[in-house]
Amino acid sequence: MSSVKLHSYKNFIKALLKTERRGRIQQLQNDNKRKISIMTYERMQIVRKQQFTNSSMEEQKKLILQLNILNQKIKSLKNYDPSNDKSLLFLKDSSPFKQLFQTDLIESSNESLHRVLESWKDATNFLDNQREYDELMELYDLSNKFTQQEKIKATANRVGLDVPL
Amino acid sequence: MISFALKCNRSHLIAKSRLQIRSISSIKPLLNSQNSSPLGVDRSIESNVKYETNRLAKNGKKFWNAVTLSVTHDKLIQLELDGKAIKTPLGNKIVFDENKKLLALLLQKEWETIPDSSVKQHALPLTSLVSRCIDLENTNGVNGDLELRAKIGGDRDAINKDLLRYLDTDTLLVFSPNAEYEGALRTAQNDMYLPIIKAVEEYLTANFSKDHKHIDLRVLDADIHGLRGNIQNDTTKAAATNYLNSLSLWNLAVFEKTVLSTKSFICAILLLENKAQFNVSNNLKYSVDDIVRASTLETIYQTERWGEVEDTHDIGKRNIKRNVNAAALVAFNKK
Repeated sequence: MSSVKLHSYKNFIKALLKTERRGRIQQLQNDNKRKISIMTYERMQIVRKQQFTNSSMEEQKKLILQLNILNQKIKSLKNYDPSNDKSLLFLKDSSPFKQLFQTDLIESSNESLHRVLESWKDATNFLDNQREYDELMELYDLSNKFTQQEKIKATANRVGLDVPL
Repeated sequence: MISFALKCNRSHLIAKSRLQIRSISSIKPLLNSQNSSPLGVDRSIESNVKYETNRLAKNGKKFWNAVTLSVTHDKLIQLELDGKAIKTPLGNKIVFDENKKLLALLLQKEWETIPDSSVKQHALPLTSLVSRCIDLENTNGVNGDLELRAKIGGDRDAINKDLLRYLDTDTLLVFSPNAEYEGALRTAQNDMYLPIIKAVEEYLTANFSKDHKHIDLRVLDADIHGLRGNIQNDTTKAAATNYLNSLSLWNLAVFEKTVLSTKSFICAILLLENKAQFNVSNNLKYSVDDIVRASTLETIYQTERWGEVEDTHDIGKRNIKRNVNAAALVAFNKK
């Protein structure tokens, strides 16, 4: 009987992990995008400063140094792919679920056990189907993927313009 | 004569186009036709003001750091963003019974995994269902606001009436012809639906029928009845109404969700009996998978024969599963 309990708990955690991973990858990607755009803005500012001819050689040197550092940072951010992140292969915090597993499944009486097991199975199925549904919606409905900001940007790009940051 | 005809034509055209415009603006969803906007989106002009509480609905942007659960002094679980309670579209706090711990943890997860660029209402199925439960409870409670009740379509009698229509043409009461799929579908329907129908008839007769008059659910058999509508008799309707009135408001919201996704009144009875009640009689015992299979039996045979259509069957299948499983989680009572 305990193997059945453990099995359903493991399945649940697997489903939970997949859901969480998907959400966190999206969060990290958005975060990354934001950081890149901020740095690109900083770089623009530096290039503008460089164009003032009256600044001294020393200042110019400093600016070039800053520019190089920024370029490197942007490059590394652009290379960062959250789907390769090993830390996303584990749940952020599984302790509340572990605790619930302890009280709900291990210590529950025999009459209610079947129903509780079923409810954990429902939760697993819910998480799996919800995730797959979201993935399919993203696949089929492309407009769903973009935020309003990105849609505006795409519209502007279509007529050869760009939006400010 | 010609000019007259032209005039006629033009006026006819104008009239037609006017009609069309009017018909577009008057399209209303069938259920609870007063409110057509999705949960949490209030499109009326007077509510187009940004407050601290509707920040999410207005901006659609994530603004919090931590999602937490706390237990209030009267032993209810409360869902919080940065220590402040999350509120339903009507501004009620999301709090519920302590024995729904698994639901609480899943709600927390749902809010934690939102991609932070934008929050879409349809991406929060558990939250929207729980919100509906809580809003129904509050608007139908002792000090319920009549106006708010009308706004969310929360009038119990109106909900009952809308739900009863599903019993007339219930998925589980419609049988396909014997000739289809070499009889395979009909055999599967007989095997699956007949015991369920019998059990539900017994259940309604024993508990909700006036003077224990036998409830006879009227089925629609394509071989015998051909094309006709299906309407349940008054005894059945009365018993079904009694059943609906016996539900708590929380369970009524779950019932509504299940009926809308399975297109079946009977499936919703099965779900609530199995999840919300502790002692369920043996012949009503069905798992969520069984319930989903019962409500999609015809599609299963269709896709087996003709193949799945991309963007339709694959999405539909998962949609019904996620909805019914969500309903099961929200309804679940440990004791």
